[in-house]
Amino acid sequence: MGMKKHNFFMTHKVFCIFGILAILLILMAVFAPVVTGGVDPTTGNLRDALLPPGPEHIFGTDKMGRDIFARVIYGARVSLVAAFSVVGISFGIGSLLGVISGYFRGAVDAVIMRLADMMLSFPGLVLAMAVAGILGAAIHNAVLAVAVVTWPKYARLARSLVLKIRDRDYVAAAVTTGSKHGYMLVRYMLPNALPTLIITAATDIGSLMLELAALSFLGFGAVPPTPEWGLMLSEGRAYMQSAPWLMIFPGLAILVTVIIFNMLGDGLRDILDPRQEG
Amino acid sequence: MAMLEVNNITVSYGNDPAVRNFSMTLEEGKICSLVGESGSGKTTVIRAIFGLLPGGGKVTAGDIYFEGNHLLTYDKKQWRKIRGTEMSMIFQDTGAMMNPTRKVGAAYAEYIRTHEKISGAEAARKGIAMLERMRLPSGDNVMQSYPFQLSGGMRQRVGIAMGMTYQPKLLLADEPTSALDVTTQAQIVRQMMELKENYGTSIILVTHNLGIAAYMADHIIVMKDGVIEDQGDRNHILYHSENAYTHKLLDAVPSIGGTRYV
Repeated sequence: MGMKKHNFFMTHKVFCIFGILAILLILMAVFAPVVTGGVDPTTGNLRDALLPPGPEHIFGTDKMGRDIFARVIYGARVSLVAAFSVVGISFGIGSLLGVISGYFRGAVDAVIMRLADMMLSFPGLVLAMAVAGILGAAIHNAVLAVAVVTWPKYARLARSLVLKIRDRDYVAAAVTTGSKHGYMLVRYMLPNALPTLIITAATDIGSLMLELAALSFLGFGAVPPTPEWGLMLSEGRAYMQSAPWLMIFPGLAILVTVIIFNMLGDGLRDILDPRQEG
Repeated sequence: MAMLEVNNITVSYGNDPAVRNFSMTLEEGKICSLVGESGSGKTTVIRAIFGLLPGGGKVTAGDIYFEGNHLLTYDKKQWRKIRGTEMSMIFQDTGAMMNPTRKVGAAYAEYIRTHEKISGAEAARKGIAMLERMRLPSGDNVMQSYPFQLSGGMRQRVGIAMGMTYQPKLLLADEPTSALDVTTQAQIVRQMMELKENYGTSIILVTHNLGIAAYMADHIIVMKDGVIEDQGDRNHILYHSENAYTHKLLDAVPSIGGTRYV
């Protein structure tokens, strides 16, 4: 067993390295007050406005004199929680509806899938903007808006995976021997769909984070003075030439986080589904 | 009355009869073999006996009696009671009948526990004992494996072990060896013969391999296009049959170096 554990790191380098980075990122968000040394991301001193990066403020300050480093670190809290919520909600709802749809087929399938089609027939971000616009600008509304346009993807995936095995002999055998619907769904349908769904969810974290940042950037997500990367980009846009650090650091934060989670998702795929390797 | 009596059944899918006027009887401890080419209705016959006709299939005429009980009147519950205990079936590919996301042991223990009220550990012990009786070495290893981790021959033996757990009186085997290589085929055939000798199990064996049928069966039924073309004991089919189709089937048995091992 000890031998096996040692080899796990060697055989799944990508997954392990980016897994550690992702954990560090999460720890950084959790212990933001420690990392920033107690600097408050929402209060600033106007005398310190728009200071370039230096020993006092390593990422510089914004137009309100707030420390960018603190805002980027605290921004990780907002972005990570929001992204994980979107993935969690759409993964949960999508998988559940998709598995039900594929298993029962018929009218249930038709209703769920037409609902999904309705969501898919709009460009994602535009529909999310509409939803966020109706609900009002707030980060939890942005989460809801993105989840509303994302769940059909999981539903369709789960449904197709279930349909693939629905008519297999072992499913017929289980039904013949008297298995109930709930049991069939939990023991037969879900386990068959789960690996692929988890891989999709893991690789989705990055792009959903981008979408949330985009909504905040457009003014439909986080509201000032919340430290959120998309919002920070939006606020820094006016000072792009005179104070580029306002955009560089939140932009880098998004870039690094998205890369970490995308690579982590790829690594996970190689472990769970080796067929697609290389 | 014989253990199994099939009287003049006609089985139809939709409006097309797939099997017409089929009759057979089977005594305890005997092996009967159905041979014929693909689509001749062999599988349909045993599926009708087991009450497992695929969607749309129906016995439209005739009766099936198992130990004096009229099987065609059975409902789902009654069927569940005798399937696995009184009669069981081995399929061509047992692997296809197993949930690939569950370990063999989990499926086997669940099977045992649907038929008797015992603890999971006891069921597992019973399963392992049964696997070892079917000549599967290290049964606990097999129980801890997923179906895809086992070879075709091992999976098939797991299927036989499952089918034989409750020593059913009748075993229906649907081409149990045709997905296997010759060596493994021979082992499985020998094992089924042992079942008959040790437990007095009656077997209906569906095969397109006349060699296996001739080796195992007391009675051979040759089917073609859904009807019985020829039947008789081994001696009759192999040496005294006047039927042209039986001769064709015999000629189709592969020979090695000019010698035919039938």
